Amino acid sequence: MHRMSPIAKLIYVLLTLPLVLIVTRTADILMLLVWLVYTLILWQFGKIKLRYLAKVFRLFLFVCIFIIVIQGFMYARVGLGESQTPLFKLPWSYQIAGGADLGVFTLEGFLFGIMIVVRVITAVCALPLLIMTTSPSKLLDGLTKVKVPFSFAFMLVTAIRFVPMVDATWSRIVEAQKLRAFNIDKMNFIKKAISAYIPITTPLVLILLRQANDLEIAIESRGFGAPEKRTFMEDVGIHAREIAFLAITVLVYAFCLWFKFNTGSFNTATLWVQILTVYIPMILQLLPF
Amino acid sequence: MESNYKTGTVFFDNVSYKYEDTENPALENISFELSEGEFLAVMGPNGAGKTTLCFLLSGVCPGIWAGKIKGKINIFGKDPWVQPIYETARTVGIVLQDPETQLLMPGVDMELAFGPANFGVPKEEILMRTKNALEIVGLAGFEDRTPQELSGGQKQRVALAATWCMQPRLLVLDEPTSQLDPLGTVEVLDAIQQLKKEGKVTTIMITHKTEEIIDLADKILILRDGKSIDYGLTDEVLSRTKIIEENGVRPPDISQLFLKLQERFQVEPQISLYQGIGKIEALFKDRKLSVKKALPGGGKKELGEPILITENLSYSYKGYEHIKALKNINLKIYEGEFVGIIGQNGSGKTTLVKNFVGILQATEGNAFFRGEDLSKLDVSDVAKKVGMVLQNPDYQLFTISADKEIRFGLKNIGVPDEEIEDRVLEALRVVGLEKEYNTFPFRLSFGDRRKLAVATVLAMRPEILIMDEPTTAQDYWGRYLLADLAKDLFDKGLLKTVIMITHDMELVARFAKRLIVMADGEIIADGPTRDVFYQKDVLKRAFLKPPQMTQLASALQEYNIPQDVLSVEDMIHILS
Repeated sequence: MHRMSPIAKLIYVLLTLPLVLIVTRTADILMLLVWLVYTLILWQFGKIKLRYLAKVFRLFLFVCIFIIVIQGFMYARVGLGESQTPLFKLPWSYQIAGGADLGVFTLEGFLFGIMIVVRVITAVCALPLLIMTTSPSKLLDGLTKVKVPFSFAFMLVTAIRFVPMVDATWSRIVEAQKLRAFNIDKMNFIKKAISAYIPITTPLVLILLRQANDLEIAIESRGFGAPEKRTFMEDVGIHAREIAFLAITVLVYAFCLWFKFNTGSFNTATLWVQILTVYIPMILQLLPF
Repeated sequence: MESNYKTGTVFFDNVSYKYEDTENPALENISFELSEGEFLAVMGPNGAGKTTLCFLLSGVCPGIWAGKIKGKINIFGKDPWVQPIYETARTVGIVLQDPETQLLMPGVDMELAFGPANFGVPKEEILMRTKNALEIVGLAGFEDRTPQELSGGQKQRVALAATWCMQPRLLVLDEPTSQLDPLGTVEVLDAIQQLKKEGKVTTIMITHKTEEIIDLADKILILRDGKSIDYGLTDEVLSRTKIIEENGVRPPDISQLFLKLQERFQVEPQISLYQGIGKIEALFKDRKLSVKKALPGGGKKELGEPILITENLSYSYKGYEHIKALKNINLKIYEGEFVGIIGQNGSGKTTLVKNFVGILQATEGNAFFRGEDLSKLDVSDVAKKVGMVLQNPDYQLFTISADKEIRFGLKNIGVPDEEIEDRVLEALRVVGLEKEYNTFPFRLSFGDRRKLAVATVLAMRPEILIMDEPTTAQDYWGRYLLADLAKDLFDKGLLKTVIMITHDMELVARFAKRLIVMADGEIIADGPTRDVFYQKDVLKRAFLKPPQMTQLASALQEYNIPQDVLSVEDMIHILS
């Protein structure tokens, strides 16, 4: 996975997004699960530990529970012919438009909630494959190759470099202000929000502005903006490995879509229009011809 | 004006430069000439225009900073004034002071490839240059490192290598060692030496440290207030010890010693320690010189109670629990002591003092201030007992006026309103900034900003003052500003104890009566400053060099020179 061209990985990520977006029914969870399993298999090739998945879960735990609870109470598709199986009832009842009763937690809603959670997880899990298995150098060359303007790709890559630096500056300032008996770590949330950040952010901004000056000198004096065609240090072209990977990916993708078609009513025409007008041109554009 | 300089060399012909938004010119009528492969050192006090010179050479002026120029600049037949910076970058490579900001890429290999790739150099060629450049600067095999994994000296060498990969014909170095520890400095100077050996490259280096360039530079240009004070071959310029000292450049100790000796003997000025030793030895052999007096005992200040005590203090940073940044430190610091702490970056000296000021809490063991456990105190209580002045005031200053800056700390420690005004005035007076009461701190010079930061600490009336690198970024004249200030308050009894963390051996030799040497999180020596500098193996373990005069004394042991001589004054004292 690490040696794979970032362009192939980018295509994979971009395929994932519409897949996640076209999901409308609880039954579509099957399709998502197929793709998720495929993603996790790719993780193994990319030597990304499954433990990382637990991390993702923890990160989204609050959102996930929130979604499931909300859906459990609000979900209702009585009009579409779906039944409602109450799991438990609150002591009160409040009917809203569409047929849902806010006092009733339904099984259908619960499952729909789970489906949305899987949807989020599927989308989130695709990204590490691009980010964690691609060196910044390949990312830079890959993005440049698919015609992302170099200055933009360069900005992205320098951001990777400078995030830890800004972080370090931040902690240095926090420490420095502690010497003046200003301890932001011990303040409560409200106090922090009202005034506490000024003694930290003011020096930070001023220091960053000064560093930006230095940065500009460093960038420009290294020939940034020279008219020559930039050398690609990395091989980011599409070769046999990438074609094999993309072929398998497309197969799995098709299988996912097949699930979608064959498990109930779905407006196939809409999907085909989408595929023809959006996805195919997008993929074509990405291929470096 | 017709110039008789040849093309193919680097020269400034009567160059004057004024920035767009300033009144006075930054440079006035500067001229110098270098042939291919020559090395020029540019020296002078702060505000002399040294960095402006670098910017003119590299096209940063006018490319980034606009201004007006007179005179002619020539760099191998090209004028950076009339071409875009990237054109100049084909012949001129520049390395800046700050190791942090000039690395642009998240990996060393990308960093080195960045420049040549911009010029479309073929990939194979870039890889070859990368490998070669890393070898020259002594970082072979570092291709896959990220900047976070590098020390300051290593980062600076990566910056050098990255510039080298662009195959510059002129290398411009703007104080490349000013922010490094002694070890990093040696590493970078070795790398520069190597690049010089590779031949052909012409170099212009700005520096404050005379010792650094004695073996490197062919020529020296001394600037002051934008004007050229002296220019010539290294030996000639440095022999004019008086002139350079008067213009804010620190002559090496050995030449200061010879300047003093010239009052008594007919001796040639000396600039290198090695040759100086020979000359002095000759004087001893001819019996012109001999040791006449012992070193002064020094007015010993009575030591009071222990004020800071650590008991088995250990510290590990979060996420690095397996590495002890401090290992079982047992230390007693007394009232009435002026202590210096030296050691390389990463030796644990900063970690140690952070345990004294409430920034860090010991993971094992304790630190006590007059019997109170420091880790149990709130930062506002600690601030009233132990104050600390940082290297860079810009991490602290944030208000719109000097007085508000001082008020901030006082309010945080809960000083009553009616007392605040008095304390503000007093603190400003102590540091000599009473006129700047209403000034926006960022309008002050760097030196004054540091003084203001000191005032904010002093206003809280701590008993102990800790100073982190009080000489950083100051020129020859201003270098002892903060240390003198602390000494003054110490002598008056306003401060009970002063602790200085520093890389500056001259500073400790001059001020500290007690010296602590740290390496790998341990205290490897602790005692009177003179005794510690005498322990060569200890200093070697900490990668530190004793002051030149101590080295001289050690080389001339057989002539009964006391081995604990620290300064030129000491040496003159025992010889007179």
